[in-house]
Amino acid sequence: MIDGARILIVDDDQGMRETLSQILEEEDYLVGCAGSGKETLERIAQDFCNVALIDIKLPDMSGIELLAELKKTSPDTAAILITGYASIETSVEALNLGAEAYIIKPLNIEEVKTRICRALDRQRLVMENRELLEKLKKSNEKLKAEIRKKEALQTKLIQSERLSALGELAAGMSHEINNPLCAILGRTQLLQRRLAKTSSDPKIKEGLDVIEVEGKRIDRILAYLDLYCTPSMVGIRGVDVNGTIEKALSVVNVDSDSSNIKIQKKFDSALPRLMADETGLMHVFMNLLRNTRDAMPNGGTLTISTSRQPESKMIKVIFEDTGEGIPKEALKRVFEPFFTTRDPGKGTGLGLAITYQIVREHGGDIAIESEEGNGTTVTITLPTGKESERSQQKKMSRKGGLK
Amino acid sequence: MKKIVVADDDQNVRILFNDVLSEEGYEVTGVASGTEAIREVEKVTPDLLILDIKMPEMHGLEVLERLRRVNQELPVIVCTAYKHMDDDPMVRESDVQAYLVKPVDINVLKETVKRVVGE
Repeated sequence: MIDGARILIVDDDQGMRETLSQILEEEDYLVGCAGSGKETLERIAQDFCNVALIDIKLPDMSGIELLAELKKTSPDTAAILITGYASIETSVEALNLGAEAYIIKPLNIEEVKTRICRALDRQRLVMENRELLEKLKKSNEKLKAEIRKKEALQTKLIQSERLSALGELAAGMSHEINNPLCAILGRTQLLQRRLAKTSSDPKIKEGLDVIEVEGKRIDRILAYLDLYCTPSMVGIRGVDVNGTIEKALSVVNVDSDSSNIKIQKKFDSALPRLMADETGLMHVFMNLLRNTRDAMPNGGTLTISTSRQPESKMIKVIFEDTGEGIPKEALKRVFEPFFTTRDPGKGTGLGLAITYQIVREHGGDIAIESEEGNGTTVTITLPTGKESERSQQKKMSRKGGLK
Repeated sequence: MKKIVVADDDQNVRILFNDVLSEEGYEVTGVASGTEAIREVEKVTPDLLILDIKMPEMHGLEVLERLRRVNQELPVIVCTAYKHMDDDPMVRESDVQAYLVKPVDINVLKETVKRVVGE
């Protein structure tokens, strides 16, 4: 039974109302009365009632009509219809309209009480069910969100595993190439020396010089590759991020007179110092600046902003340009080593891969949003607090001996 | 004549070092593995060992550790294709006279050897 359940007696006969009232109040119900259909609907609109006992004959409408209205405005109210004339048609109609029960006069009080009890029981079950369903829906939603989050994480994990596998491959490759390169360059040097003593054939000299120059180029690419494989986190100290960006700007000439590029700086002057490897960060910012410059061959605007995220103890650095943007297919692969959209020989395809690596080593994250023709936004978040120290310690301890 | 053992699994690197250093008047023996390096050092008691790091059978640093147990005096130059070798704490702590990173400029090779063992 629902404590203090509200019962509404609907009958145009005052005597009937009072009798039923008295009996039901003794059962600790809160009892109200209405003499017409209209009054019933008004009362129920004001105060919810658990059970309505409705006489089928009312002055303004039939009990069946009232039942139909009631189910529209207060579907949870259980309706028990009371009638003087037993008719199968009306009882079927009433039940079809959602009546809880159909009682025939003269009333058996025990029957009325039992019907009310049952109606209340059912009502309670329905309400509990609904609550449970609501809860279930909510936890379902939560679960779905969890799954989505997990999937996103997994994608990221796969990406970073793939990058680290590529990194290992690159390190191994670099080592394997350095050995023959050592022989090639050394031999070339020896031959150049011998040639200088014994002959002066300009064609041979030219050939050897080209071998030397190109061999040294391979050496430079490999050195860059190794930087990717083992980013140095040696010089950890408090770094002023705004200052580091300024330094990178002074090295990479983005807004030269001929470039037509404007730089807008929105620096947070109260940025806390970041425990970081400044050389690594310089590399990150210089790389982003070079990319930005190359993305705006006809000029544009580069907006660099820095901000604090006090709640997450993060520093956010955003590079936003109005350049050519990155095609959707390329966007997925920009952090992959050797992936480049530049002409052969122009880019190593390692810039963003190393940038990604350095940001991750600092316990941070980097995200690139771009649309072809609509500019690119690179967002870097770097932890300022304990988080960054921990990730650096991990890195330092990982850096054990050679394999 | 000063004796040098070159331990490197790459034959062409051994030949190159041999050519460069013989020309400078050193007596050079080349070996292709760590085990051979230890045997050769015992046999010829050289004035210098040029040691590659990544070799089959035995890692260069292991060769170094074994050698150091019986011979602390032998000058060693570590020569490796790992670019950031000198960052490695294990290499930093090991007792070697110099590091060379491949590809090695032959002038640098000559100068380093000269500095470590003398003419």
